[in-house]
Amino acid sequence: MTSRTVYRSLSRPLIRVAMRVAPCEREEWAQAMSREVDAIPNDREALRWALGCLQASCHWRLRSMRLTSFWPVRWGMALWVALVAADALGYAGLTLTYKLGLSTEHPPYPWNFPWNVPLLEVTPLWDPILSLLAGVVLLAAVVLILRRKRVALEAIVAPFVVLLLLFAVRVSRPESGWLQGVSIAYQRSHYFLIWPILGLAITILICLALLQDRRIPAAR
Amino acid sequence: MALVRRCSRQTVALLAALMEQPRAWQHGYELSKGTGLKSGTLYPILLRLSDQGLLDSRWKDAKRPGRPPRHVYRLTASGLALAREQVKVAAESGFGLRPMKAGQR
Repeated sequence: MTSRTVYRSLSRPLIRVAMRVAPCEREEWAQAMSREVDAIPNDREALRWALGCLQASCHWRLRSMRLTSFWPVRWGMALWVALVAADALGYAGLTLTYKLGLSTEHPPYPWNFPWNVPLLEVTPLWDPILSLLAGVVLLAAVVLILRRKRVALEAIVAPFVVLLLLFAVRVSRPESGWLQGVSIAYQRSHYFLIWPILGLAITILICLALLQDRRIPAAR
Repeated sequence: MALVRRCSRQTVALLAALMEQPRAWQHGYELSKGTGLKSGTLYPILLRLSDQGLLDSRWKDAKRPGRPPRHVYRLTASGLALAREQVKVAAESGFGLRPMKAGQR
């Protein structure tokens, strides 16, 4: 078997896969792409064309998918939002406990790290209150995601923006030690920044997925 | 001054190729060769233009007997207007009208 025939014989199954992957509403376009293969004289070019067809079909398929209709995706999103909510509520709980003088004892594991008293002192009371509200809204968002409600997007975006602003205010305070921590003087590895960036990226991806779901009409 | 929304370089290249022969129906492969766009890039753009009412498409019987019909494309009146506008903007800014090398997207 020559390489010529190999290329041509590989392009045919690829086209078949592309046709199968393409969503029903794009069937005509998938067919249009696949018909062109027969008109391409060069075998290697035909294979490249078939690969492009598969890429376009996957693109259309992804764009036509309602991601929240898959339960693992839905539960994954809900789990992540629940983690963010727990983080916000945990922060709010600990800070309010200190600010309101409810307890002088260190909280139990896993929150028994040393308290940053200077930061807690300069933190205004509205900071943990806002964090508490954001956490409650995020918990509501978990339920909304699982019930596939359109308003879930707002229920994530609004508190998340509040939490980001609060976080930015908090780390910009010298008492937090963040700015010193990332400075060259401390020579601390910048790799620890991966975690907040990763968390931000995951939340943005969830928001984009919910936004895409809104644009796609529900299946009848 | 009215703001003109700038299309991507690939879209401008495709609009320019379609504008060269506004009355002629062109095949996907022909457009791919003319613009240097791969099928994976070309068809999503064609589809988007068609969804926006800027592109007409139809099936055309193959010249050689026994071959299946092929999809052909040409710009609509609004597509032609947009193409003229985008090509002009691209030419003024030197954006998007450089000849694309093979394999460049």
